[in-house]
Amino acid sequence: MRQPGIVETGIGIFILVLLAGIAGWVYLAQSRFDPGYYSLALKNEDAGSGRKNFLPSPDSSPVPSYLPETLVPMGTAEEFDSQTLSDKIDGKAELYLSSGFVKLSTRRFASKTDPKSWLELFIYEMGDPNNAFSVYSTQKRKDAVPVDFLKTAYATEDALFFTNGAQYVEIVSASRDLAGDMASLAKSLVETNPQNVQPDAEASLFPPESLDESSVSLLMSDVFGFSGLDRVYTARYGAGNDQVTAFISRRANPEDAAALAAAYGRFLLENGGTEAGEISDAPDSSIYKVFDTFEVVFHKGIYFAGAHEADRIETAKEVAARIYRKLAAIP
Amino acid sequence: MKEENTVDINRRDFLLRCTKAGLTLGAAGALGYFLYDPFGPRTPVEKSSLVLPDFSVPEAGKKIAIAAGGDRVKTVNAALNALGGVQSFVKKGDRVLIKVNAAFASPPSLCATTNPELVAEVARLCLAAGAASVAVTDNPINNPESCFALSGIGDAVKSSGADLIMPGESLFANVTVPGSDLIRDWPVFSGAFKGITKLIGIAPVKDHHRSGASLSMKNWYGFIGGRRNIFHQDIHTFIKDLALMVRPTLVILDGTFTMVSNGPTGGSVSDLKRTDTMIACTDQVAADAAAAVLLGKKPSDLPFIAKAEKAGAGTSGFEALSPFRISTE
Repeated sequence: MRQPGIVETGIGIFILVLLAGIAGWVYLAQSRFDPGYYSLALKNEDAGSGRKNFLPSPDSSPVPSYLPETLVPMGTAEEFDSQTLSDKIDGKAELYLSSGFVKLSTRRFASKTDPKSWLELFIYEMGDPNNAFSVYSTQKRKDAVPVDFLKTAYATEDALFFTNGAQYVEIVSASRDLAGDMASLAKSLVETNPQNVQPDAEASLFPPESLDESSVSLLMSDVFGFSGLDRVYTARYGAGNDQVTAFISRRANPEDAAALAAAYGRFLLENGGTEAGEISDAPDSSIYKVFDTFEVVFHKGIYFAGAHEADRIETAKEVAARIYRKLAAIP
Repeated sequence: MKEENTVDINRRDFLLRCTKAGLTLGAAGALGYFLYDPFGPRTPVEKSSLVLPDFSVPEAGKKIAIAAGGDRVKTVNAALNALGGVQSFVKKGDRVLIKVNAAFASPPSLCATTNPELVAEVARLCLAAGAASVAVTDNPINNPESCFALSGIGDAVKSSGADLIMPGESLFANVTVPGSDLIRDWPVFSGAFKGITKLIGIAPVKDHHRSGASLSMKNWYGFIGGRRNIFHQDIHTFIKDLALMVRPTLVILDGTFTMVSNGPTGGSVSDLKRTDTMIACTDQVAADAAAAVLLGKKPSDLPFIAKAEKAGAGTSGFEALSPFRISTE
């Protein structure tokens, strides 16, 4: 095979440089994206009159089978998908979209005896019971009162929240005298569409002693500010000023769990943390001091777990050690 | 020609090279076809240099008042009186526009929208100060009719003698905000400003899932049209742009109850914390900085405040304005 000449080599290099230049130009052009220029269709869409969520009006559409007799429809049902969810809940859409959101159905109902008392039903289809539990648990109100007919349900003064399989349901009332109607509606929804799927078993791996059961949450992404950490169950232990957040995450295999523990440890060190020992009898554990708090990180089998932002190292070690022993006992 | 450049190619090499070249050209063509947008920009882009008026009152200076108390009518009166009274800002014959937050078709009890009693009181004060007209408006997230009806703002406007401006398509025009990163030829609710001489923003103090807080600068989001949710991707820059777009006469932040969690929609009174504070200010950046504490945050926790200050929209150092602090209890 012949060797290329100087001219051919020069032309080849010129073409490669030209291609690199074009690639660079494309990169710079897209980084200076001007939505005003390129999104004309988006701009002109829905300038003021095309939105959903219409004014409540007398409704002739069929009454849903789940509706208790004490309530009457106050308007038609509306649905929102991933493209239109923010038309209903604005900036909170991201919370759902990052947790597997599929569809939102909403409808308002009024009290039959007092039409001025109304409530709104939100049914979020989350595609998976764990996704539903995640959005349920991360929004849980501090003054939540447990509801007896479902394990993952709570009420506040003017609202009721629960999961039913892959559904996350909110019932929000405009007045504070609809507690009975909200409960009836929730029960009816569950009875009409019973779902016995329970979320993942990690939640049951938290040792019960001093555990605040109502605090169990599932965080889906960017957990503790670390982009590599997803699908983490958290729970609060202790009381008063001596509280600690424990966490457990099941990974695909022991190697993944070990790699994640190492990566999270590096993340802590890169963000002002210093090594502060380990838990005795837990060879795969590390303790980090991050400013004024302590972080315990370990992996055991397919689990990545530990304690997060504890004020006292003793509390963090004690809770983490109990979780370690529980995970070590799994066959 | 040198010996090494002598053509030395047999039929097999020739066919191999032709095949490779053909595959390369085919792949490049297929990629181009895959990436080809047959529509492109739908119509020629209308470039606009429309700039919204400056509604600030320079002679009023930079002032902030923070009134404590649980009665909104009392606290807003106290805050405005501390700034010299509404008449310091609204003169006889002025046409006032009040921009409320009516984003959601939710009940006033959730505090996701501007409190109707507060809207009515400010409208009444403006009319009493001699305003020729007072109009209230917003371009809500949800359907406007349902938002104004269910939030109670519609009735409040009616009872106070003000007018309600509903967002219609004819009221939107493309606006480019000088110095803005994102508001370029974007539809803005400019029709609401026709004939307006003074602008007052009234917003509740709320947590916000994307921006950390929804305060007076974020309230101008309701002047934006189109598929504005795309700006959530760079929300802090966009709020800064909003502050550059709108130069109000006055902003009022209602922190009687602060939505401290699950914002901006909330969903229960459990998301609210009683903070008994009403802020009135001529500097929207200072107002937002002062309200941050109600959410348990520092101004530096909310990047849009620093961005707006750097862009020249106001000052985050509200304490330097020597706030008037009044208690109504």
